[in-house]
Formats: sequence, structure tokens, C-alpha cells
Amino acid sequence: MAAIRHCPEREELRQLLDGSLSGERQEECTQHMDSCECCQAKLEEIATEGSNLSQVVEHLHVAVPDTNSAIWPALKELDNVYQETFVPRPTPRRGTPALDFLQPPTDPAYLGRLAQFDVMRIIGRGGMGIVLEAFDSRLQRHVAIKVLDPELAGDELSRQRFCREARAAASITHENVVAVHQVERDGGDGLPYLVMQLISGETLEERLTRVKKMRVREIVRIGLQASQGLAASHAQGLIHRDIKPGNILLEPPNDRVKLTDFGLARVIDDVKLTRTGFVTGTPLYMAPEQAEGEEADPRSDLFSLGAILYEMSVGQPPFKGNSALAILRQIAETKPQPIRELNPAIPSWLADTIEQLLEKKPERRIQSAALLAELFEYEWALMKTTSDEVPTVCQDELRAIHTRHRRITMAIGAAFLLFGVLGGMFFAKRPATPTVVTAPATPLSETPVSAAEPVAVLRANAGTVWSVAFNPTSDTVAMAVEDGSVRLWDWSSQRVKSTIQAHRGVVWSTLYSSNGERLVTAGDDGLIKLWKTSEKEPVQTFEHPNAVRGLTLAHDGKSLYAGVRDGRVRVWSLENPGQPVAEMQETGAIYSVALSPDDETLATAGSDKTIHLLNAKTLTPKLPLEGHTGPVYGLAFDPEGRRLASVGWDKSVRVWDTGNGQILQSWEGHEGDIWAVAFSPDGKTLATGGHDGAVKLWDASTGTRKATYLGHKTAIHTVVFNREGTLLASGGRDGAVRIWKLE
Amino acid sequence: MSVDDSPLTRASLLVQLRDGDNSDAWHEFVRLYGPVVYGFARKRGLQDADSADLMQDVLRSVSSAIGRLDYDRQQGTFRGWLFTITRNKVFNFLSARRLRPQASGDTSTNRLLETQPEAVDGADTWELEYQRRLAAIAMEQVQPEFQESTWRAFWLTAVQGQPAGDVAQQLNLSSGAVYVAKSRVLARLKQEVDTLRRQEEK
Repeated sequence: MAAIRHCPEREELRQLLDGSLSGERQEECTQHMDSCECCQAKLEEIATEGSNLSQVVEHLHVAVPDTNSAIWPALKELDNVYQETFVPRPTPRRGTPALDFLQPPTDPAYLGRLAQFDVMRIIGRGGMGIVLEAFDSRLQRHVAIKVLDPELAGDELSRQRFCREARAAASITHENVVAVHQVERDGGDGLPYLVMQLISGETLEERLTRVKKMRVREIVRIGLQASQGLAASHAQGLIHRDIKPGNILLEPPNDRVKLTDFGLARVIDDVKLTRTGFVTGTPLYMAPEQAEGEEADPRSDLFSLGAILYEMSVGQPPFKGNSALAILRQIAETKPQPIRELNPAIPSWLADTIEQLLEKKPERRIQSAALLAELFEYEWALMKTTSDEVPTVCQDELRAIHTRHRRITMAIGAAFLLFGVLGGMFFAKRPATPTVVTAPATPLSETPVSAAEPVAVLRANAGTVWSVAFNPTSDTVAMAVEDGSVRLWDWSSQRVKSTIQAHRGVVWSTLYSSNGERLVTAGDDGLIKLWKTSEKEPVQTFEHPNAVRGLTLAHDGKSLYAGVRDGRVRVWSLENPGQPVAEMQETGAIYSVALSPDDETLATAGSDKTIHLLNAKTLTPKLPLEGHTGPVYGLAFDPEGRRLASVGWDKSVRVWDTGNGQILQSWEGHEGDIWAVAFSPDGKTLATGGHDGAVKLWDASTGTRKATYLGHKTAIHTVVFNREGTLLASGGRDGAVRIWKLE
Repeated sequence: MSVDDSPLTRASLLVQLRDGDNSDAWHEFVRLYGPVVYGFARKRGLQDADSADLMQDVLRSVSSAIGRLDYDRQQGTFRGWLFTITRNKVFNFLSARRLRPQASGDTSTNRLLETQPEAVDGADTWELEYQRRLAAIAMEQVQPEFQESTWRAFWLTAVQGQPAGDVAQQLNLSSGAVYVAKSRVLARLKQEVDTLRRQEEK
């Protein structure tokens, strides 16, 4: 039989494969296959339906590990893993869970009795147990009781874990953590149960189903309290591991945050159970390392908190998906949509903070709950005050929130002003009584208040002014504003000469070089920029991983010093700007840096309450100055470099001997936080600016108040003298700078 | 084909695993994915023993997370997730090697890291390993359906890569018959692989 000359049709090839061709035709076609390469390929293509199956099976035999490969025993061992780690989960049940472990009730109104507790109702049911509301007949109070699920009670592993949870949770005492009163076992060795504080409010989860996007103020408050609760548990060595809205209770009447269900929290150093890693967190809020089956650490809780804050801010969780696995992959691999794209009303500092918490790598997150709490505390302090003059973007929001409080605030403000002015007039008739050094705050009415008006008011109305600087000839004032701009004013005519769009986000600091030709700025975007005052583009840029809060320039103009919010301190050389000359890491956020007049000593201060004196060239520590009881916001060296003044959260002004670290003077300076301090060029006077809106001048050696300037009604964040000491500039939350003439 | 857009996973297996006492499901799970992880690790340059350890490590991690997850029918994610875990563990392994090369003296590992910047990714390698594993399982399933000579014609040409002419002589068949035999097995395999995939999608 001769081979057919013409290639078979495609349909015939298909039939050749499934054996449906007639015997004769099949032989013809098979024979045709001997030599027709085209049909050989076509046949294979039809067989594999155009897939890559041919390539997949190629050399598949060599892919099988040989008999003495380690894979075989490993696979065998894995079969046993199932027994070790998979604790059978009870199938979800409907209806009332079994309560047969309860004793009969003493009163038909109750469900039953457990030791001295009359059980009233079932509050809820979690992965491991039932939560009951009960009345403690001995202590006459209502409590919540968490009982290990009776259906799991036979499981020794569950029982051990429950007891571990109980011990761990009971060790935390904090107002933002649900208190665990006692850990008991029914009848001494029966069912373990946990007696807890009963919280009557709703969970954040319930709140979020009602209110999609929360108000900024609520987000900050909840973030602050939750991070404080976490900080307390982390300090005990406990990781929550399952922070989610359902585990955050809001306690009436003020919705105080209470973290609960440390059901998954385990003692960090307990290796035995963590090795098998039976359980990790809730997928929606789980940290990437948990999603990938790695160990959780305290920063995993921070990621989860970040995910919750994200949801509160934009109304949806950062990672979404139709399945748990889809979510896990998102958590591991994708970056959530930027917060401000979804809700522009969220201030950038908050968006940045949340996005930093959501960093995939734990080492890129904010490193501790305590640090996060400080950050929130700081921002919360800023939000507490409000005024008609607040020109920031949040003004409308603040208005809405404070409608109730505003009248009260204003009334107090007006009384303060009136009282102050009267007091000033009264005491003008006799010399001011010198204040006793380190005495507690002198009553306001006994202090001199200047009736002086500022010689100029420079209103940018673009947000809080965080820093202000005079040029060397004192005709120009640079004003660093929250909207990212630096505005240069001819202050005597009160006109803006030029505006530099300096940073993305807040400009935290600005300084003139000693010859006045250069300007340095530091911003929330982590950049320091060096500008020629005549140009719109920076001459040099220096990068940092986080917002630069503290900035100073060497008096010789050759070096820059940065204090970063993540605790870093860096020295840069302007002549060799590629790499920092030196860097060191401090424990808290840094809010301020100052340089001694001889450029030898750098002082840094921030959230860790301690001021650090460092060698300005190498950043090796020289001397810690300890005494402030809260974060330190401002620092200033005296012109001779022997003294350092510091101010901060604790309302005190402190003057230190930089030689031996002793406190020379200390006094309470303002009614609230003190944000700014400056030494006059002659070293005799200190100026401070506070949250109470007052600028005060003090005798630097005695602490006696010389004058109080009122004009800003809200927080003052910056005060600075001009080179001659004839002028003082102050700026703050009201978006304006006031220039005061000094006698 | 990238990992992301193939809607595959052993969801039905996972559901069984999660529901509790089902060591058969776990066994099947390990049998499918264990060699994929192992094969991937080998492709990334790990030695036999290290690959086996890593495979154990990955599947243990999976077992720890699986138990509490709620699955729905939406797939296309599990293998990707497993891939992420595997990739990270391989990367960590290779990084650790690189940091202390004197400990292992394994210069080929270092070379691998240096010369293959994409060594840490390898989604294509992963996908291929998975396809090969599916094909291997499918081959076990369908082999009994074929005559010895048909199977050998397929095996020697498609798997071992011998020329059809040589195989024809060996088996005393015509070349055309070898081509037809090979393609018939391939066609059946294709069906079986598709079935396995569909099962996973349930």
C-alpha cells in the first residue's frame, strides 16, 4: 500500500488520535507520519491542545529524586506532622452551646452557677471558648467569664494553651487592656476559666459596621489608646498576635479603648508551643510574617493595628480578597492603596504613620508600640487646642468636633487675656517680685504681662508655622509652614518677598547660614534641602528615612545636623554631601537638636525624656541630662556654650550646666506643654513659647519672669531672637508670625 | 503562565484538611506539593538534603496556618501563597549562605546569588515545577490504560527524548506508529491533567 501523498485533514488527524478512523485509512495516515514532519508536529499539537505539555513531560524521569534522596524520609515525616499540628476543629454548631458544666442555677433567672458566679447569659463564642456574663455573688459585681469550650476540654493541648493564655492575660494591668481578675479551674482541676472585667460597650468591629470612615480625632484617640495598651502588654513580654477590630472594645461613656482576647498571646520566650506554630492571626489584619507562617513579634501587632487604623481612615481594610488566601497573598505582596487617595481628609502625618506600620518588613515599621504611642500623644496634644485662628486644613473638622467646647475655650481665653492685662497694669506700679528659683509656678496674676503689641504680624494662613528664622541683617524673616512652603517676608512692610515650595508635607525647620546667602530647610518628607535664597531649586538635598524634626547648622557653615523622627541623628558635610559623616541611633523620636557655639557638642532631645550631649563630629555620647518627665520639644545653647536650656511636655524650663550635667535652674514656665525655647544673643534672657499661646521672657540666671507677650491665642511652636537681640519672632498654630520689639 | 492568573489550588484538599481529622487529605497534599517545593529548591541551587529540609519547613509552616483559615471557593491563590513562602525561605537560605560562606564553603551558591539577580523570584520555575508534578501524577494514573509498546513509544520519545526512528527500531514499529503512539498518550495525559486541575478548582 502506497503512502498517501496529500496530508490528512485536521479532523482526520483528530480521529487518528482517538482511534475512530477506519482500519485502512488509519494505516495510510500512520504511514504518512513516517516522513511528514509537518503532520508529526500537527498531530502532537492537536494531542496537547496547543499546550506546553510536551515540554512539561520532557526529561520528567530525571526530575524524580533517586531512592536515597533525603526527600523520601522527609515526606514520610511530614505525614506525621498532621497528627502533631492539626487539632480537629469542631464543626460549627447552631443553637445554644452546651452549658452542662454549670451547676443548677440558684434562681431561675440564671442559666446556671459556676463556683460563686451566677451565669446570666452567653455573650459570645470564640475559637477557644464561651464568654459568659455572670454575677460574682461574693464580690457583688458583674464579670465576664471566659470558659474553655467544653467540647475542646478533653484536648490536653487546648487546655494547656488556655491556661497559658490565662496566666499571660492576668499579668497585664493597664487601663487600655481588659483586666483579668482571676484564673480558676472548676472544682480545682476541671474546666479552666478566666474571670474578667465586664465591658458593656461595643467592639470596634461593630462600630465600623455602623460608621465607615471615622473622624480623624477618633482615629488618633483610638490609635493612641490601643498603642498604649499594646505597649503595656509588650512590656510584659506578651504579643497579642490577633489584634483585630473584634478584639478592641469601646467602653462607655467615652469609648475608652480596651484590648481583649489575649487568646492568642503567648509568652515570647515560650518556644515549645510556638515551634509548632499552630495558630496565627486573623487574615484581614495579619502581618506578612504571620501570613507566611513565620514567628510573630511585637511589630506584628503593630502591623495589625496599622491595618485597623487604615480601615478606620478609609472605610475599608488595606487588603481585600474573596478568599482568605487571596488576602494572605495581598498581605505578603501588595502595597495598599495610599490612604490620602481614598480619603484626602486624613492628615499626611497620620497617613504616613499608618503606611509605615503597614511596611512588609518588620524592621521598616515603627519599632515599638511605646514609640507609636508617643507619636500619637504628641499629635494628640496638638489637636487638643482649637481656635478660630486655626487656618489648617483640619479647621473645618476641628470646628465640627469642637463646636461644643469652643465657646468654653474662648471664654477661658478671654478671661485669661483680660486678667493678664489687668494684672500687668496693676503690677506695673511696683517692681515685680523675683521668683524663687526652682519654685513651683507662680500664679499668673502675679507676673508681669506686657501690654506691648507686636510690631508686625505676618499671616500666611497656610497652616501651622513650625519654625521661623531671621536673616543676619534682620530685614527678612523665613517662615516654615505646614503646607510644605517656606515664605520669606520683608517683615517691616509685612509683604512676602518669595515663597519656596520646599517639601512634601510639613516643613519642620528652617535656618539661615551665617552670611545670609543660604537657607536650610528640613521636612516631613525626610529631606534636608540647602537653598540659595535667590533660587527656586535647592543646591543640595540630604535624604533621611523619616521626617527630620531637628535641624541645625554648624557656625562655620560646613556641617549640618539632623534629628530624625525614627531616632536617628546624622551629621552631614556640605563639602562632601554624598554620605553622612556620622550617624547614631537613639531610642525615641527626636524633636530637637542644638549645637554648642564652638561646634563641639551636639545636644539632642525627644520622646525619650533624656537630653543627650554628643560629640558633634563623631556623635559619641558625652553626657545624658536626665530630669524631664516627658518628651522634650525644644533646646537652646547659651552663647558661651556653658548652659543648655530645655523645654517640653512637662511644662518646665530647665537650664543645665553642660560641663557636669547638673540642673542649674528649673521652673514651671507655662500652663501647658512648652514647645520652643531660645537664648538671647547676650545670654541674659530666655524666651519660651507654649501651648497656652503665650511668649514669655525669663532672666536666664534666676528664672524670674521678665515679660509675657500675648497675641497668639493658640500654641506657639517656635521663638527666635534676631542677631542683635532687639527683635523676637514667634509663630505657631494660628498660622502667623509675630515680631516683637524688645527693650 | 504566571502564578497569579492560573485559578488553581487544592481547595477541596484544603477544606478537608481544615475540617479536621483527615490525614489522607494531608498525605495527598504533601504528595502533590512536597515535590514541587523540593524541585523548586533544587532549581534554585540547593542541595538534596537542604531542599528536603526546606520542603519540610515550608509544609510545616503551611500546616500551622491552614488549620484556622476559612476557605471559600475562590481560588488562584493557594499556590501563589505557597510559592511566596517557598521563595522567601529559599532566599533566606541562600542569604544565610552568602553571609557565612566559610561555613558551607559552597561557592556555587554564592555564584548563583551573584549571577542570578532573579534567583529569588522564579515564578516561572515554580509554575513549571507544579505542571511537571501534575503531569507526573497524571502519568501514574493513565499508564495502565495503554499497551506496553504504546507506553514505551511515548516514554522513550516524549520523556527520554530519543529520536522516533531509534525508538521505532527498538520496538519494532514504524516511525509513524511511534508518532501516533506518542501523541495518543499525550492526548490522554492532557485530559487527565485537566481533570486534576478541575478537581482542584472544586
